[in-house]
Amino acid sequence: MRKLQKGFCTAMAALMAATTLAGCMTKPTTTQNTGSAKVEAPEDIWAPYDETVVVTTMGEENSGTEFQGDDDYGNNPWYRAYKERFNIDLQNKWISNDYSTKLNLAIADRDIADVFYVDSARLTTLYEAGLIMNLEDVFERYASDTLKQYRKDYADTWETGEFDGQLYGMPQMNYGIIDQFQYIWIRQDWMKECGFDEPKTMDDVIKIATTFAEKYGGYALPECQTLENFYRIALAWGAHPGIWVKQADGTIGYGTIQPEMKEALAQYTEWYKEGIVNPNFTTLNWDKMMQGMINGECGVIPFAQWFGYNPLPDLIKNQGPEAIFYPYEIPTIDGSPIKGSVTFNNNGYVVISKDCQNPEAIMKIVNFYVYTVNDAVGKESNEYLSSLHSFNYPNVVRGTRIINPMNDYNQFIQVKAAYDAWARGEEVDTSELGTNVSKFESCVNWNTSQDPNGVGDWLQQGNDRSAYGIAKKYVDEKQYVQDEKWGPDTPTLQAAGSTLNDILIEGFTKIIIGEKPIDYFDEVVQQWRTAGGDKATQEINETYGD
Amino acid sequence: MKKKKFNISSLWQYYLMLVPGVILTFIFSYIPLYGVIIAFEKYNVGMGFASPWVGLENFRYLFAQPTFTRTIWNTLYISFWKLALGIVVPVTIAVLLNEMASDKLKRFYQTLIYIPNFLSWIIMAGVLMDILSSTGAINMILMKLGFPGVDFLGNAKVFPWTMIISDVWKGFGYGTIVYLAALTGIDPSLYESAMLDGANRWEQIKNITIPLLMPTVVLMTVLALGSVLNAGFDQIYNLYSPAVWETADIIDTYVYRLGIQQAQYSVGAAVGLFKSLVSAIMVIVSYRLADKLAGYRIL
Repeated sequence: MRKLQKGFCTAMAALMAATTLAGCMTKPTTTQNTGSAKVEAPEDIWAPYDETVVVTTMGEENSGTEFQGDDDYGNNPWYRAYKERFNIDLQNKWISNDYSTKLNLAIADRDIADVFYVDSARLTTLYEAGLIMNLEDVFERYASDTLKQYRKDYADTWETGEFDGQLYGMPQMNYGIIDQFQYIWIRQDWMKECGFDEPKTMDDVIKIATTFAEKYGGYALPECQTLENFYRIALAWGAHPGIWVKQADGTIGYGTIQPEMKEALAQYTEWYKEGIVNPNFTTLNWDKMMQGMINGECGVIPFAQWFGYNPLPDLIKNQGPEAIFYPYEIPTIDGSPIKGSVTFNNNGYVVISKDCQNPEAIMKIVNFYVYTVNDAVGKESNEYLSSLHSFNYPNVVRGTRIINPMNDYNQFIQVKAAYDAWARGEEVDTSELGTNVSKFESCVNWNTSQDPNGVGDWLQQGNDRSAYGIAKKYVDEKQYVQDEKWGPDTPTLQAAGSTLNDILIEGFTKIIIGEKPIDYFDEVVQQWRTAGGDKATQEINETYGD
Repeated sequence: MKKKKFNISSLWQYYLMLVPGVILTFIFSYIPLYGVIIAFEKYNVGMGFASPWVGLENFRYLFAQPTFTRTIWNTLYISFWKLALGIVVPVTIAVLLNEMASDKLKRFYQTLIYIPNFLSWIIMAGVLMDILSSTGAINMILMKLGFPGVDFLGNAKVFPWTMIISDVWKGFGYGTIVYLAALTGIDPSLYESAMLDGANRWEQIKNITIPLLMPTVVLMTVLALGSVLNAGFDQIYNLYSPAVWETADIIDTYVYRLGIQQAQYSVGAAVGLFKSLVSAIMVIVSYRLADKLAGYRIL
């Protein structure tokens, strides 16, 4: 018996050892990092290659993209256009719904694609690690004239992609500052029932909000634990939380700690005490607050231009089309014109791996995107352009696109003009709208069939009282305060920026809920300073000061 | 027990069987220890372990943060009470269940209290938020009975206890099962002889059940002490808010906000190392103390 047991043990041990070792000895399979070997590029930057060039990329999954038919991330109008026009085969190394983590792993493995996009912190990381290419030569030789013009027009943004004057990351820009303004959104059916006009002062806003709460239940002003709405409404006091502003002494200081914020906070605390601000806000995160809006608990909210996209469609499905909200200018405390905050906004940087054999192919891809949004109207058919720009397809080429910062501004002018013409009963030639035709159509859909999916576009652009309509005035009259930090974060902000903001949010919350008096504001600011705020301020002044 | 002479020739098969485990532990637990060096570097993913060396800078940075030191105290406070109540409650319930005459009823209660243990904190958080909010069920009952409402989730003084009690409530079913298993291992003849000596139920519990349960209690405590600096990330992260950070922000939630929003690998590693060191010391000290003071050993 003993012997048998022993024999069994020996066999088991041998077996276990063998499997372990086998596991250890499996060689990892090597992956091919980049696309084709060097292929001779044609002279003309718009001409196709003679031989198919394979270029790899890494991308982010985007839930907003509505793939048509058999389309997917590897086969879609953009990828087909690259193949047809330039004989370039763009291939996805991977597409992930957790882009930033997956990208970090790829960088750590040094297994990166030919082209992809990064944020400014990773741009520095990649540059310091020597993994990306100096784009100066290939840009000079292969960038289209429009792209070169971007670099001239938005030189301050493009410089943020340079190291020692050499271009390493092409900034992807943004859709324009017209997107960045804040409004008071007010529910229209209630407003009519109660007989209110457009609010001219903050007292009007509060009167409307409290009347709604008395009459329809719920609370007057929604809020969530990150104080988003407070930061928005603080603009009325001339405060600019979240951006860096010029102070009286000429130096740059953080907007969230300026004296105007203290005044705004004092009033907001008063409102909370009076039950105007949702008494439960400390336990609500942003989603929960939005859920309350969708349930119709509140008829006034300070919010950005995209309220019509989220949560309004759900609110309308829930409460009917009469429950629509309109945007109004935030009235200031002293009656002066409101000034919005405008931040440096760059969606990311297009970078090219230093191992990429055909960087000019990537320039062609980038050129093509720029061409479709700027120069293609009239040259290409409307169907073709809209096949590229509908269904959120531009998100598929998130890693290789560069946006025109005048995009939304120009779009608004076109869409508004076309919609007004349509509303007057005129024939609208949609071929002139190019990629903007879908915005126009959804405005029409809201008007004709009250399709909740069209209400966002209608309130952003189509309606006479639209978010962009108000913002256009701000942009044209330069009625805004621009962030003095016109570029990426400085090292301290990169390392501690959100911790610093947490200190302020926590302190402000304590004041609002009455746990601390208003003068605690100064103590909070002091905490912020010692935690790295002073260091950040010093860096900002050195980097962005005069 | 007499000490056996080490004899490899008769035991070699057993040692051979240990080899795969030792190799795997070495590969997956010891070699990665090398990664600890990023706690002393300014880590750059592109450069990997060859990132610039900064010594103790990350630790200095962390402890210089005015809002970090309070997280240590919060962690210990919440952890201590969770640990303490996490022993007292299941032991009490296990003893009570053990005294129950009906086996069917005993099994029913055992299952019933074990169920919350299987729900994730994401779900529990949603439920708790509804029940505990100012318009939730518990506050409604309190107000009906004439008590003032309690802001369970928004009041910094109450919040830690909301965490402690809800965690103990959720987890005590598991502990109860462990202690019940230990109770069934007690020799019934001990009770028989005690009864012959005229001991009543309470005396039997006090003099037989509890003392014989102590080794298991010590074992569970020592095991739990290893994670004393984990005060329950899932639970707190899903329920806390800036209004209660003062008392609710624990090391893990703080580092999560620091790390996830700012990709601070080095600081994250520094905190991990700090936590491991403290935990290791706690385990060693508590084990020694249990051995010395009470004579209880795991091995």
